[in-house]
Amino acid sequence: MTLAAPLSAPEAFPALDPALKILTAEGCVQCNKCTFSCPVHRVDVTFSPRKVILQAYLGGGDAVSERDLWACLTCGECQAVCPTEVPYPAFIRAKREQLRPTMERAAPCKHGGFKEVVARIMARPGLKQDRRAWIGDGLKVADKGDVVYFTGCLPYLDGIFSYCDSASIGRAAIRLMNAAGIVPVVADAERCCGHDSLWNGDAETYRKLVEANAAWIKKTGAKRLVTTCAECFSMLKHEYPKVTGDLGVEVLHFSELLEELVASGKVRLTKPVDLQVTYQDPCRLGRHAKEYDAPRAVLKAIPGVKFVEMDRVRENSMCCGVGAYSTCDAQTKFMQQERLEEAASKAETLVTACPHCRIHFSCYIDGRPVDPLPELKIVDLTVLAAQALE
Amino acid sequence: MADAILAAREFLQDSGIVHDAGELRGYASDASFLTLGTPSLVAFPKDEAECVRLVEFAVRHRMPIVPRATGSSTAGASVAPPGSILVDMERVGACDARGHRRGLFTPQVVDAKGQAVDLSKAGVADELYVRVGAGRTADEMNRALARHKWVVGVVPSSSYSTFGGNFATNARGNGTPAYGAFGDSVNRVRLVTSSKEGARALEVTDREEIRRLGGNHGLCGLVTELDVRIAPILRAEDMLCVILQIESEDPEHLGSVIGGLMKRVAASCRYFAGEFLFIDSGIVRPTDPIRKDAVLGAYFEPPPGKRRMVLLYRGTRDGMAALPGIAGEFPDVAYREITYPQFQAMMKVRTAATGKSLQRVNVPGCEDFIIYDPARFGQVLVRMFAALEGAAGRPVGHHYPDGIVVHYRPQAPLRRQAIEDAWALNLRLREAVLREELTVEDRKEHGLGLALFRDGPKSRHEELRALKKEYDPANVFSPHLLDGRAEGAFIGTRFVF
Repeated sequence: MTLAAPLSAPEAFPALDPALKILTAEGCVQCNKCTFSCPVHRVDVTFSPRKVILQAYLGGGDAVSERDLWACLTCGECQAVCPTEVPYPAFIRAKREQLRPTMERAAPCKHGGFKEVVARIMARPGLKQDRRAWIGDGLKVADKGDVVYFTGCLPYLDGIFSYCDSASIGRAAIRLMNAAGIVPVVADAERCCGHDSLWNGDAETYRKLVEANAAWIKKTGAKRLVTTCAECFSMLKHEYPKVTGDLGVEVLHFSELLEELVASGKVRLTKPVDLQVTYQDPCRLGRHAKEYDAPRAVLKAIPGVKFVEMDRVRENSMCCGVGAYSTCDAQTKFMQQERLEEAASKAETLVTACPHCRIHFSCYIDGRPVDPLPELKIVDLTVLAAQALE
Repeated sequence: MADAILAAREFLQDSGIVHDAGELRGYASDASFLTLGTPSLVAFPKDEAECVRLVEFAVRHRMPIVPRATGSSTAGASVAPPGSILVDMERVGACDARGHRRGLFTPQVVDAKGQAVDLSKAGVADELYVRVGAGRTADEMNRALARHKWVVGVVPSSSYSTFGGNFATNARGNGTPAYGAFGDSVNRVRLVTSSKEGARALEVTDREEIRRLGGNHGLCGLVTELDVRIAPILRAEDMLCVILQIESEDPEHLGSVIGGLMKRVAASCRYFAGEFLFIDSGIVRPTDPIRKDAVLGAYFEPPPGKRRMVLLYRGTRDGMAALPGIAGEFPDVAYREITYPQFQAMMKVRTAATGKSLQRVNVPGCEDFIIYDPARFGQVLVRMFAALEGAAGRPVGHHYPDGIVVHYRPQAPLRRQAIEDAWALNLRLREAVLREELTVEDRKEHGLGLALFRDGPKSRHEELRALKKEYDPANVFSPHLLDGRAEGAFIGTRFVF
């Protein structure tokens, strides 16, 4: 038996690359909790954040394989259970940015690269858009005001995911705001928030989008900015300030605004909506932005709604299976099957507060589920709340 | 050897057993941060049948196999040398037919005779077990049992470790004062062992034999299924959770008072958990919500110049009836009853305290030892704190009826030199406290791992050699552990930073 260790220590210690710096700021103790929590690991036992970290410690940043780099959902379940709070998603993000130019899979975006193409188009200077065509009659929006409604991709999503009617989320949000006397600003100058560009390593596009959005947001003079998208929210609230400094507005997820409007009596949810519902914590709203309570408060304020929690919630919630549209494969389907089975065991309707979770789950249900699923509807929180308006 | 590895790879491919044969540096160590190099292959069997095929192959080709569960042991038991197959057991009994791990499942509950039981109709006094795959964890099982208000009886601090791993290391933890070590809480074990010609799937139901096998360090076979003791969650009105606090400039005084109290508690109380920790300013982040807790927050503001020690007990009100009186006999000790959620919040701090300081990381290694005589606790603390002078981190531990287990991990910024310094500190600490006259013995809690046949008790060596002969006559399971020289190298010296 050979007991000599064949691992050789590197002769020189190169300066740490940015990704490895992230891993060493909070060090891994190899307890493996990350791996046991990882939804990808559950369907692919060879995928392991713990393993990737040890490889990186021993071999430097180049030791991350393409598979490991792109299979990660960046959902943050690993970080939530980590006793040393190693920011594994941030490591993957930095690694993607670093390796993207040299990797064959330079455009991992699914759906023909739709989201990536849209982001790049929106990053162009001088872009002209009509971002209000979807709103429809009877709803009031403005060019100036105290509250900006950042719609995100909603107007564009229905071009691809026509079965989801994502624009209905925006209409519901405006209707609820109008009911409270708020006429929100919906700006033609709005660009993609850059979420997918940032998480898929396209730093240049991300920077252009941030700068473009920051410029028009600051010009509005608005006091508050609200969005119905968990991804936009995590970007605008937590990531933009790292690039642009203070945006000069208070950034809210729509559930936070709605909780406030209901509590103050400015919005009255009085029409019963008789449903038993459960709630999917979107990774970007929950683990990334730490907002767990506002959506639950809204659900509890809707008359007739019976709210039942799933077993894995809040920090331990399971991802919808797709992160930044970078991965959607057979394994994604198994993750979605497990999560939807859990939801269906609790309620007839799964409510989420992110249009992308809704799209990914709806896509799975409308496609070919790997196993039979009980009847389950996927509904956005804002749409559900609007149903309770008289 | 190269031919054997090639044959093993072909075998794994042909038999459809999921495996990894590429970049294996990620399997060079476990939470011990010890290494023997990298294994030649990593296999991930999904059930007993695949385990049998693996063992048959290993016996036929005389290829060593090293069982690994979560790899959260800090003793290096699941570190595999070159030329071996590392067998990751985490999927066994924990996945569906497709091989996917299912996070949610319905637990199969049996009684002491192995007969199925409807948990919703069970009484709190019933002796019940869950029949569970070796790859399941207490965390998953407790989630599955929660709706019935039952929990796993013995849960080590890392509730993410697998039951198979808990059995292999005979882990202890929450519940041990009531139910013993993990091996004591198991009523039936299935394992795949070797024979001279191939593999055998065995079922062991004799409790004495199960106790012998508890803590076998993977030397005897691949554990595939166990019946694991479960316990009812106490009603709030029946449960007593207590926090005791003492502070002093003098560690000897502190240790001797608490040691005396522990001795009285062990003699007069029955409890499920007895845990202690030392509080310093770096134990939780400034933003941690526990600092704002109306009751617990004050415990995190230690007076300058003094060490503050906190002791936590949880048990039934009946079993702990003597505790207030005992605490009253020690004027330096402040006694307070807390709620179960507050106890859990403190336990979260206690569990993280070995693994986290502010912006620092622990360095695993020699971090747990048992003091059999609580009267020596003060002397041990004096030596311990002298060795730790100037170092970050703080000791935590358990009070078990048979002694006090202390965990300490030096904490350092994750830079190679700092890690090496912390490792050296570990070695100094060993030197300072592992002394017979203090009744201190090395690594009781997480097993002895690579040091099993170097540092462990000689009587246990004989038992393990006898067990290995019986269960692994082909000597394919972790044969390197029998070699006292296989102590492994500290992998921190090979990091690229």
